[in-house]
Formats: sequence, C-alpha cells, structure tokens
Amino acid sequence: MVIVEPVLNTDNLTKLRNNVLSKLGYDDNFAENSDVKCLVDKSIQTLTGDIEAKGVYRFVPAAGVKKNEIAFENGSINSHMFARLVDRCGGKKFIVFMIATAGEEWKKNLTPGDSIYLQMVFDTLGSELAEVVADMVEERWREEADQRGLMASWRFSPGYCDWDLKEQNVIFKMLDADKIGVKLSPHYVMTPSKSVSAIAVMADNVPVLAPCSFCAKDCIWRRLPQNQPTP
Amino acid sequence: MEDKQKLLTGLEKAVREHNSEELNRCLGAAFETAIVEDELRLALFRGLERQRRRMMTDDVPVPHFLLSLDTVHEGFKRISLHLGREPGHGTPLVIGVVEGDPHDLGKNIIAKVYEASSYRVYDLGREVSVDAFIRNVQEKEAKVLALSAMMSTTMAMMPEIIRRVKEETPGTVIMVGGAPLDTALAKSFGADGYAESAVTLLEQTEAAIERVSAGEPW
Repeated sequence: MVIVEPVLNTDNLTKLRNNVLSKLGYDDNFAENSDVKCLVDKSIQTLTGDIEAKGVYRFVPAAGVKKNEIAFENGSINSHMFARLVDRCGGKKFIVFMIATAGEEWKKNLTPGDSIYLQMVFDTLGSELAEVVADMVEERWREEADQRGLMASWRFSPGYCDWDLKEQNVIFKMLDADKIGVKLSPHYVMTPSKSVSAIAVMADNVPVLAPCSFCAKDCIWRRLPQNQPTP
Repeated sequence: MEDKQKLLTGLEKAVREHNSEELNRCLGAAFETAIVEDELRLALFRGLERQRRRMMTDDVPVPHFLLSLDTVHEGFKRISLHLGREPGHGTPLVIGVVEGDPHDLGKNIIAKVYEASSYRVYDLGREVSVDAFIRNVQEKEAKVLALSAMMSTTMAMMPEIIRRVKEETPGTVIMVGGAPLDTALAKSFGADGYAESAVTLLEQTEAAIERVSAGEPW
C-alpha cells in the first residue's frame, strides 16, 4: 500500500479554480461576475498553505472475471459493466484500489451562520479539490503502472454506473484508510466528506478506458461520446 | 418622501441585483411610509421569483440566485425586526436530511426558498431519525414535511419515514428531493410530491398540497 501526500502546484491550483468556476456555472458568458471569481481566488489563496491532501493506493492481481464479477485474492467487485471492461483487457491484469481526501481545511473559513451563497461556493471548492487530489493520486499510480509496462483504464467509483455504493466496503477492506484519516460510515458515507474512492484496471493491454463504451445511455456522468465504437 | 411604487420597485431590483445597501435604504424609507408588510414581502419575493425564472432559462447561474435568496432573507429579517416579531408566519413546514446522510447544502437551499416564500420552516438539520421527524411534525403541527437524501443508500430510509408519518400524522403533505431521486421513485416511496430542484420546488409543493387536500392521487 502506498501513501501519497500530494502538494498542489500552480497548475493544480489553476485547474482547481477553473473547475470551481465552471461547476458554479461561470463560463466565458459570465465573465463579468468578478465578485464570484474574487471570492474563489481568495478562498484558494487562503487554502494553499493548509491543504491536508492525502491519498492511498494498492495494486492487487485480478484472479478471474465472470459476467458480473471481478475476483481477486481477498474478495470481489460486483459490476457487470466493469467486469466487461476487465474482460476485454489482455495479459497480466491488476486492480488498483485508491482513496483520496481533501481533508477538512477547505472549510475552515466557513461558519454555520454563513450565507447559502458562501456555503455553495465553499462546498463546490471542497468537491473540486477532492477531485484534483484524486487526479494527483491517480498520476502517482499511473507512473508506477508505466514503470511496470502496464496500461490503465480511467478510474471508476462506487455509486456510479452499475456499481453499487455499498461496495465502498470492498475498497475500504483493501486499503488501510485510517492511515490517511478517512472513515466509512454504516451508510457508506466517507468522512471527511470531500473524499474520493475508486478502482481502475491495469493490464498489458487495456482497449476500453471506461464502461461508457458499452452503454448507450445519455447520462450526466457519461465520459465518452455515445457513438464511440466498442472494441 | 419617496413614491411607494418606486420603493417597491427598488426593493425588487435590490433583490435581483443582490444589493444589500439598496435593500436597507429602500426598507428604511418604506418603514417611514404607509406601505404594509405584505406589500414589502411581495416586492422582495417578486425580485426572487424573477431570478428563479431566469435561472430556469439558464440566464443566471445558481450562485446568483442564491445571492438574491440571501438578500430576501436579509429583507425578511429586517421587516420582522421592525415589527418586533420572529420571521416566518405562513404554512408550518418541517425539513431535514434523513438519518446517515451528512449532505445538507441542498436541504439548506430548499429551506431558504421555502422561508423566502413565507413558509414557517422548522429545519431539523441533517442525519435526522424517523422518530425526530414524527415528533417534530406533531409538535409543530406541520402541514408539510420535506425530506432530503443525497445518496442511494440513505434514500432507502425514506419509505419507512413516509409510511410512519402517514400512519401517525395523516394529512401531512410529504415532499421528497435529492440527487438519487426522481418522480417514479418518489411515487413508489409513497411521497405526495417530488421537487427536482429549487426551480420547481414551489409549484410542486403547491400542487402536492392541493392534491392531498382534495384527496386526489398523485
């Protein structure tokens, strides 16, 4: 198991800023909203010295793939879509388990009596920070995959597509999340709330990057065009 | 002394432009005139309603609507303070996030929209037990119960809460909302209404109240 403590650089912070503004609905058409941009910039500036970003990951060999299940030494993942993706992979196959957290510092300037507007800006900041940290943890395991000569799929999280949220348990069983201060509630809620858990497949050959390739639904989480041919 | 209509229009504009200074100036001037409370509240709500409709057509982003919502709140507080009483005087409504779910931002927004449209809101916060929902609906004599859940695992609590509320306080109008829900799920849970977002909230709640009052099925 590898513990990562990523340090956000200027590029990461620019990405964070752009993601927050985009999620809040401010694209180029709303360029005049400098008050919102100032607030986001100020919030990010006050954060930079204190972000408690942490992550953990682990590679586990995949033992077998069935129609709805990917088996490994200490358990299995139950998702038909992800099983299809793993089944398409060639050569040695590994599942990478990861958890990343933005910690709690992102909301240190928020108080219970704050306006709804501030609550929303900070909540969006926390969510996007968690995604940026998850991207940084992902970069680390991708580097390791590269060194081993392995390709990797995109990451896949419980609660999305056909993978039941209750399978958060599988990820938490495979990783000692206490080491980075993340806990899972009986309702499968992570604390700190701005945390990301995910898996991905690594193999000698990974022809399909995301289960969206097998799916015709036009859902809001779709990551590939609908007309992308399935390998 | 400023013209009454000019003050009311000024209030509406202050909400649209989330201009706190102008809001307080207009209210201060209005308190010196014979403008009645309902007219002031209506002007504030008209400003918010215009923002809400602009949000529906993607003309303003959500944070701009929330800034207007905060301005309405400030206005309502100021009016109540001037009149020497607690804010909120309309239909009693209990709202909360179901047990196990810590996500309360959506619920906070919805509670403020209800308050701004003159519901008397009792916000129980997050991770609220079934018993706490029932106790509060009974104690506050709530006409409406609004339940929020942001996860598929916590959403599973809703049918039991709805069943017990209907059993123990019949006639309560139960609205549900949250990311994993849709109209079909809300119906299957036995709710009386579902609001996808703050945009459709008020229409959906009024429709649910009418249905329940008339004894009509959803």
